[in-house]
Amino acid sequence: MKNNIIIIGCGRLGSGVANTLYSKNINVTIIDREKTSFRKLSSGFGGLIVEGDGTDIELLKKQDIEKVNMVIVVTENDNTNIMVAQMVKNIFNVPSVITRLYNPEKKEAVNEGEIEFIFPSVIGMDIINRIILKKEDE
Amino acid sequence: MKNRVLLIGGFHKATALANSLIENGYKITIINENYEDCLRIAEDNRITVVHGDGSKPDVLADAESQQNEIVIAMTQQDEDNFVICQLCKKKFNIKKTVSLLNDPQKTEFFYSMGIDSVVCTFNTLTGIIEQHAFLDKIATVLPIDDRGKIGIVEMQVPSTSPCIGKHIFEIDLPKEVIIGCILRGEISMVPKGDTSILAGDRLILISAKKDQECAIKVLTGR
Repeated sequence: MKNNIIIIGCGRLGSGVANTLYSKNINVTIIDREKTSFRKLSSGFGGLIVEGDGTDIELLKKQDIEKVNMVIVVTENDNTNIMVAQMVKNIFNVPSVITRLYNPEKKEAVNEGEIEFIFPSVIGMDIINRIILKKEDE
Repeated sequence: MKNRVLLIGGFHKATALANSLIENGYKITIINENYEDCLRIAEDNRITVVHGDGSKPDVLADAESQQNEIVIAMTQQDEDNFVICQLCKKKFNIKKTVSLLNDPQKTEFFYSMGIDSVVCTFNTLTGIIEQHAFLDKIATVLPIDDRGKIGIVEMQVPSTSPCIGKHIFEIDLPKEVIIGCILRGEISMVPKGDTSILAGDRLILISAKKDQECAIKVLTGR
């Protein structure tokens, strides 16, 4: 089965992942409300660009979201990310759903194990801790 | 704990609701993001006010959310209300969660995620407008379940109705409609299949929402 991935939110993270996936020949669709957000995509980007509201069930249906392998929800708003990720999982049964939360405590709003999370603050903390530990070793 | 309700967001709606709930013996906590609004709400010293974003777990903890029996999320944003209800249910074990919703398409989704009551402002409003536009004072409709699938209709049989003089079993009503009661002048009766309909009778129908319009058309002939 061919890889199909939908990305919701064309910010720095969404556009960066979209560029990488496209360069690896993966079918990628990117959705954002703001037309100007798509400027962040590289000029050679050949994936599908959809201008619209990623929280709109009808819009998601039109993208054949039931048939994709993975959806990555990376808008700037944690609450939007939680709701959309949960919609994608529970209405459309997408096998793999990833989302980013700035506030890690909000993960408790989601049923355990249904969605994979990225927590930038936790990742940053890990890296800083590692650097500090390394300095102490020296 | 019994009789404690947490209201999140929505300045005017929250204060109006708080007043009526306090009169009914409830203790109210309001969480609001706008500091000015918080000050104004706090002028009423019966209300506990917490300033902050109610979709954040630490703010909900500050408001002692776990002490409440019911939470009502009434912010402008559907996603905020969703997260508030999920956190209140899962992290703070609040028994009943109620959410306002703007986008009617998400009603089923909200229910399927375990939110106990979803009030879709759009659906409720269009329902009322439709009812007024179509029914034209022939009938009053009361929804009885909170998803609006079943309702009670009170209607008068006009003298032009094709059903006048007919037995109830002869009337071709949709399946999911029953005539629960007939009010005829001073008397009221629970009809049987062989009861006849007279002009001026007031009928109380219990009906699936989808069949209401059809039932009224059959009974009025309009």
